[in-house]
This record gives sequence, structure tokens and C-alpha cells, in this order.
Amino acid sequence: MLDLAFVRSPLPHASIIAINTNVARKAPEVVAVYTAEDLNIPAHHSFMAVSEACARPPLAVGKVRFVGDIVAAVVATSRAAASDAAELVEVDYDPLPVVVDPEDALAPGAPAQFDELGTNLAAGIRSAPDDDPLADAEVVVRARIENQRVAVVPMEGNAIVVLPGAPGDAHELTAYVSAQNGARMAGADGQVVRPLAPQSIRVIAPHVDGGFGGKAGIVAEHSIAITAALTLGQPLKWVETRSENLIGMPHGRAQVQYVELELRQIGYDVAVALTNATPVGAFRGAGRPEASALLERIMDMAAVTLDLDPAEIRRRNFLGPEQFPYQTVVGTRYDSGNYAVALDEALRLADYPALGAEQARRRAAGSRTSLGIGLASYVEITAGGGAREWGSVTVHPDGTATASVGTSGHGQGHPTSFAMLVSDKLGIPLESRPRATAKTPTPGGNRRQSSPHCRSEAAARSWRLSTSSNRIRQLRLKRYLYRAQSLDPACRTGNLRCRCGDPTNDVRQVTMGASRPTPRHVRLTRSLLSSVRTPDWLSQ
Amino acid sequence: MTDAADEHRITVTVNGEPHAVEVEPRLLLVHLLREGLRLTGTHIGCDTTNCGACTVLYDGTPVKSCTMLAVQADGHEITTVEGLGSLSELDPVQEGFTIEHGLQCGFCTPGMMLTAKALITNNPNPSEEDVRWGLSGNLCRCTGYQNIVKAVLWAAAKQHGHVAETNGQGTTVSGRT
Repeated sequence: MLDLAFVRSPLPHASIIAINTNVARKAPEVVAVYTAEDLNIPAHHSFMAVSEACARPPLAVGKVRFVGDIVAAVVATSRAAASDAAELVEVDYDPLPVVVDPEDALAPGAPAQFDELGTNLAAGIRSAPDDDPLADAEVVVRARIENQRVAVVPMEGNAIVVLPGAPGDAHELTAYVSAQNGARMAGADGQVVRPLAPQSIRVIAPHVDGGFGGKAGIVAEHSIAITAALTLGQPLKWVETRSENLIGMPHGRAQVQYVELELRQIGYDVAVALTNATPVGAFRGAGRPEASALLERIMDMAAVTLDLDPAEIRRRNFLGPEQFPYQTVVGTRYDSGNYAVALDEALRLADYPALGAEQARRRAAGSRTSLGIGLASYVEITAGGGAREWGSVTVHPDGTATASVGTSGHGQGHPTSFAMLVSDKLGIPLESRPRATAKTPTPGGNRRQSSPHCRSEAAARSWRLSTSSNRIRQLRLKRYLYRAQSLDPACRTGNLRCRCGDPTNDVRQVTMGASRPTPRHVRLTRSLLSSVRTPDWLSQ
Repeated sequence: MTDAADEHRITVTVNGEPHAVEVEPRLLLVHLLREGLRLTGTHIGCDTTNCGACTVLYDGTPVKSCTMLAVQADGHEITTVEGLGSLSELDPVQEGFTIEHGLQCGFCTPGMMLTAKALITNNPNPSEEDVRWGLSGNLCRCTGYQNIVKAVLWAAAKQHGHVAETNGQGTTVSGRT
């Protein structure tokens, strides 16, 4: 299989005067050397566009904007040859003034990253200008908080294998990729690689060894690899080095936060600045940790200002149970909650007064080992945004089951979680090892916070009966299952599992009995269930 | 950029099996293992000796195979994760990682286990601190290390037939078969 290597910019900001690929093209084992004009890949975003005007050309056009920006791509018959030849590409740069700090980037006269934009402000939002939330404030707490830039660094870096389809193949393109969201990649490929319809693209994300937000979209390296493979009509792979990962994979955090808190209202003013550092993307919580850090910090500062205990200032400012549903100033709607109860229970479990006493004791004794006590109150969005998901469960005649969902596990224990869920729904003991198999043909993809909820719901809803099978078997199955449910009063609606101990109610018996005269696989159907609910342990 | 004249003929014993191979002088041991011998259980995490994902045993000593040339392994014995145990008979280290849930994504796990194997072979009854020090050349991005340490203590107990002790949650199992 062919290997791909990149020529990356060593400069953070520079005009490209010339790129000479002649020597590289003639190097041993080299198949092709591409620059932007050879492949003509449209500028695209990774997975969330802050500003449509700031799409990144996968191969740099005219100038480079960060160390690691890609200038050329080399395809060779071995990785070593591709890497060797990449060093033979000569690029003539004319350095431009650099700005790496987001505050500096917004200062007048800062070097513009996108000349046509005329500013480094990619996007921004602020509360209504005539609405001064601090107008009659008695106490205002202000802070400037830096939430530093971090590299995402999954233990396994990016990697992609692109297999162009042969004439007559079901797919024009198959890509094996270490991605959190194969489905989104497939959709993005369809847009980036214009001639391909999404249904002609198959993206397979096998077991992925760490994502942490950095593998959430289609990056420049992906679109170059795909386009190069399609152009050559040959399979091709790219495996990122750690050095490439540190400069190429979108970074996390990198925020400077200014906060003004008046204890009844909060105003907001958000700016996203363009700099000559590696682009910033999702990382472990994707914005929520940064927002939480800001809120918790400013509340702690307010507690000090008002001489209140950090727990007490939080308790006083929680929404009360009677205030729900509640819409915040930024438009987020909270459906329900009783946060004081959760806080009090956390304080009880941690023995907060004892911790406070120990902290005071150490301070009084001048101990070299201080005790820090941090409080944070946070509500997680699960399966936000009306996420959709695909799933199927196939029950085999031997009583085992295979579950497929539109997400791949990369360390969260998804196969175990989904297997437990399937086990719970079907009554097949976990010891039988029903497997949750990851495929990624459809929506979803993996965000840790939403996967267990959304994907397990998909798995749970996917008792689909194959429509081609004979009706008698379906009816027999239904009869067994309804009987099973009616016999067991503890059986919840939609839960096929029966706990009454009668072996005829065990779904394995049902499927094995029903499948005796039948094809190899019996698909249980959602129509057998009047409804499927999120299991209690997930919805709590 | 090579021709046959540049190739060196070496013999390396990997997981007990001798292999006579011709390699480029610059070929790294990890690439010989993964691409030459198709033993892909050894992972490449950093290319820079930092992360330890590529750790293998070199005559019983853990080495980072991304920082060793294949020719340096000529005449030596290499153990990779494939040689640690089998599906039917796990090594105590593999068993410990299973029981104590010593992994999440699993990418660092082969290197962790081989480092652990050497550690508990040389130190049959390590303390938690011994384990933490012994594993300090292996990085994990998911777990926070707690369960990895427990897994190694569990494996030491199993391999050497004693009861392990931890400073942690007290869940460590005695080392009976």
C-alpha cells in the first residue's frame, strides 16, 4: 500500500513564494508529489465552523498560518521513502509578522490571518448593548482567567487508510480511520471530495485508541489522503507521527476569559481570535470545562469578597426546584433540577466540616502540606441537540446476540455498556458475551457524554424484525414474548426480560424454539415492544 | 533510498521463535516487529522514547523498541505482548489488568504489561511506590494510573503467591490461582 507524508511549514506565518517539487518527484519509490494546485481540494472546516470565512485550505494556498500547516504531500511506495522525499521539497517562504496570543491578535494593527476578513475576530457575541447588567450593581467581582492551550494527544495519533472502490464496487471510497465520528467524516468527505455522493462513501472507525475531542472531524490530512488516493486510484495510508500530532491535531482550551459578576445578573462578551498557533478544536468536554472553570472561579472570588463560605454562595445562587423549567440569559433551557440536595449530599459524603477543620489546623500549624478544597457544581448535557443514532441487535439461534451501533468505543467501555444493556433487555446473561460491535454507517459518532445515552437507546430500540421472513414465525415470537410478559408482573413494559424463573420465558428459549424451522438469524422487532424506555440506571 | 547492498542479515528470536531477516540499517526494532513480523500488538505512541507504548522485553529487560535499531537485536531475544500469554492461558499480568480494569482505550497496555512483567519478575513483592516508579516510563492518557497500579500489584501477588497490599481502596485480591 502507498504511504503518504506531508511537508509542513516550519514558520508560523509566511507567504509562499515558490514550491519546488522536482527533486522530490524523481526520488526513489516516489509516486506523486502534490501541492494545492494539483489536488484543488476546497477549503473546509474540521467539524464546527466558527466562521464560514475562515475555512482552511488543506494544502496551503499563498501562505502558511501556523507551524505544521501543510504545504505539500508526498506519496511513495514506503513510509521511509515518502518521508525522505518530503525533505527534498524546497519551499521558499517570506516570513510575515506573527501573532500567537489571542488578545494581541485583536489589538489594532495585528497581522491579519485572513486578509480578506480585515480582522482577526472570527466570531463574537455579546449581550444587548443597551442592557448594562452592572448598571446598579452593589458588588461586582472581576477576573481575567487564562485557560491555557493544551495538546489533545490521544495515545494513538491520527491514522487513515483509503481504499478507492473498483468499478462495480458498492462504494467508490472506503476509509478506515481512527475517528470519533465516522459518520460525520463520511458526510464531510462527501462535501470535501465533491464528486462523491455520501452513500458511495463508507467510513469504518474500528476500535479507536483515544479521541479526547481531537478526532471529531475531517482534518486537512484526511481530505488530502482521500483525494490523493482517488486521484491515483490506489490504496494509500497515512499514519501520523507524534511530532505531527502535537502541531497538527487541533489543540484544546486556549481561552482568555474576562468575567464581571454582579450577584444578580451576568453579561457576556465572547470573541474568537485568529492567531498563528495551531487551530483550536474540541478537547475533553469541548468548552464546558472552560465555562465551568470560569463560573466556579468567579463564584469563589465572590465568596471571598462577600465573606461567604464557598458552599453557601453556591447554595444561595442555585436555581430552586420551583424555578424550572428555566431559560438562562444565553437561551439554554433547563428542564428540572434540585441542585441544593446534590450539593448537600456531596458535602455530607466528603465530610466538608471535617475537611475545613483539617485545612484550618494545617494553616495554624504552618504545615508545609496545604489542603485545598474545591467545589464545583455542574449539570451535564446528555444526548443534546436531538442527536440521532442507528443500531441493530441480531439474536442468533444459539441464543447469543450481536449488537451494532453507530459509534466506536475508544476507552469508555462502550462494548461492555451496550452488552449489559442488551443483556438486560433480552435476558441473555452477560456471561454469554453478547457483543457490541462498532460500525459507523450513520449519524452519531462518539462524544463520551452522549454515547451511553444515545447509542444505548438506539441499541435498545433496534429490535427490528426482518420483514422478509415469514409471518408465522413473527406471530409465534410475539406470542411467546407477550406470554412471557404477561406471566411476569415485574416485567416492565417493553422489557423482554422475565425474572420469574420459568425457562420458557427466557428469550433464548423463545428464539431457539422459534428459529427451529427458520433461517439462521432471528431479528426481534421493535413492534414486539409497546415502547422502549431508557433504562433507569441511565436516566437517573 | 536503499538497495540490497545496504541490507543487513540478522537473526532475532521473538517470543521464542528465531527469525532470520534482512533489514535496512536504519530500520527501527518496532518497525521490524510490526511490519516485518506482523506483530502489531506493539504500539507506536510517540517515536521519541517518551510514552513507552512500544516497550518490549530485550533479553528480559524492558526497552522502548522505537528507539532501538533492529540490527541491535541481532542474536537477542525479544518478547512482545503476543508472547506474554495466550487467550487460553493469560499471564498473571494480563489477568491482573483484566480483573483490576487496568485499561480504558488499551493503546498503552501492551507496553505497560511488559514493563510490569519485568518489574514483578525482578521484584516479587513490590510496594505501590515501587510500581509507580517502575511504570514511570509508560504513559497512559485515559486511566489516571490508579487501576494500572492495582493491576500490577495483583499480578505480583498472583505470580508469587502472596497477598498484595495497596494504599488505595483495598480491593486487591489475594494471589491464589
